[in-house]
Amino acid sequence: MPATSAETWALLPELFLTAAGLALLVYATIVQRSDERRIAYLSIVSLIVTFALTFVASRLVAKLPSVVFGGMFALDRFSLYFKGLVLLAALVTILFSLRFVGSSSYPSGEYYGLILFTTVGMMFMASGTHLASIYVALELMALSQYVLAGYFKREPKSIEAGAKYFVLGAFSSGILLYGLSLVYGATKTLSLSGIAAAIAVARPSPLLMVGIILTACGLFFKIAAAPFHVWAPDVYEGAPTPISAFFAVGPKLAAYAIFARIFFSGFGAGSASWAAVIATSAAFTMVVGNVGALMQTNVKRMLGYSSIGHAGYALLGLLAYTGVPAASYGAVEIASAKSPATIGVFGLQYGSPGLLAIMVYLFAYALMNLGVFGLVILLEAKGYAGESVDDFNGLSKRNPLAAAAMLVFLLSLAGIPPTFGFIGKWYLFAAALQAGWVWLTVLAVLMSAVSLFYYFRIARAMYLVEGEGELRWREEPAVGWAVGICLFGTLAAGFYPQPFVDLAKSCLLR
Amino acid sequence: MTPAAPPPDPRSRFLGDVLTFGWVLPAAIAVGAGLGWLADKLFGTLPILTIALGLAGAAGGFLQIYRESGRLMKGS
Repeated sequence: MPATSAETWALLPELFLTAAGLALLVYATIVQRSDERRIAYLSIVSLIVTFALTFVASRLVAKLPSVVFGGMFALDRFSLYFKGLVLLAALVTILFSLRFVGSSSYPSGEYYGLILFTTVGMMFMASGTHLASIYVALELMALSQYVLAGYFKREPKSIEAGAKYFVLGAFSSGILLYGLSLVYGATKTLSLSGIAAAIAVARPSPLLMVGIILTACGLFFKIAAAPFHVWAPDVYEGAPTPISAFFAVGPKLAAYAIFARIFFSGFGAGSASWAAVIATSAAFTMVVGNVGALMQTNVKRMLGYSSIGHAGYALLGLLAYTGVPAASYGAVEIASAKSPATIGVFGLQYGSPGLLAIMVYLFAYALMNLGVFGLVILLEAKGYAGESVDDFNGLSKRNPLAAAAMLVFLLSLAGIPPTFGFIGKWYLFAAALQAGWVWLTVLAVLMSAVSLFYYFRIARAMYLVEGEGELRWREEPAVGWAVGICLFGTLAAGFYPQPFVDLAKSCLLR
Repeated sequence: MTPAAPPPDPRSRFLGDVLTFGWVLPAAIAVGAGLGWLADKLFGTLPILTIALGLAGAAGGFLQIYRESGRLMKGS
């Protein structure tokens, strides 16, 4: 079915960003090494324009069908919410990279182009409604990521990160493809709506079961959930620090969006079969992530394990597929105020607590994680960006503002009020409890308590230990601004979460 | 007395190791899911054990590839 011009408008943000990425790659071949910073500025402008075009696309939601381009591309507020977040993550990553990459001996031209291509892949993932478009989007994201992980190609750690990520990523893609093929074989369709219809009328066959498991395994790799998490600490440690920040946030946002869409929209009717798989992985992920982080002295590895733990918390939202009446989450007020409809994205009653919890939590996760990585980048010691816990010794005396910001992000990661991280966990745990996952919620609370220990090791180093030697700070205002934005969001949503929650709720409407 | 066999060519050994990657994962998944399916048939628990052992097989295959790829990278 040929696409209409209105449908093309819906795709304009992705088309523009692709064109911008290609143009920057060409420009990188002719620009002088000393002028490469211009490429970064152009990338920032491209992301801002794409954000504006995404806003334009949001105006088309009510005018066009929810699925366009022959059933390949979803045009709903849910996808736009995640697109906004991945654009924010990419923008902050580029701000982090300005000095970090610019002062290195590596050319930065391709670097920014690859970040834009990764972002395009993530945006397509958020809108994928067809197994083919989902897989192609995921590969578009992953191929650029492999190169970015090994971008510092004369440093062994970076090479190892890139190579490991490539090998394991290729196998996870293989697992995912096995899964999608078996699902296609069992349901005779590649569209998520067709799969949902097929599962609703027939008893799940062993073929379909194995297909669903393997699809879940492929997606577990992307979100770094156990037992497919082993790559994360190695890659976060070896990749350039701004890229570690990007990997910890952007691809996870996109992967959760597609995870939710596939499992809520496509496999929803068979939730009784796959819930146990996700619950088991969530439990292992929380334990492995938090216990693993306890043993780390390298901050990037610690944050890698911490992000594994957070992936486990977010899986709780996927388990709360259905459950409480929509009214519990304020859907009734939304319905009466804005629309008489009671059906939101994926045909679920909006107010679906799991979806709402995932959306709120991932917003919080993005802000606090980017903030922590930003401060690691700001901290320059021993030739590496503040990688050891000892590098934070005495920070409160040397730079009280940075120490205070770090403390806020750590409190937020641990889920202590009044921070956005607390609000996110509150929604997640409430959703899991109301869906009947009591043991998993208790485990999540226990693991949150464990996480306090390793987060507070950094806090202790900053406030209770005397620093040794001189600690230099990079004079990079862009990183300061990016950290400031994250800090403002983390605190503002902690003290007054309603606008942030309302934004997520409104995106659960079609 | 027969002469000692020449040491294997490192490149051949590397290629052999890498080629086994392609088999490890599907074999582990197939064995796990197959055993699970048989156990499910035996105990009437379909699809719980198929899912659990299939997932365990996928995880085991993945971890094996992670270990092997790390070893090969250190060797090279």
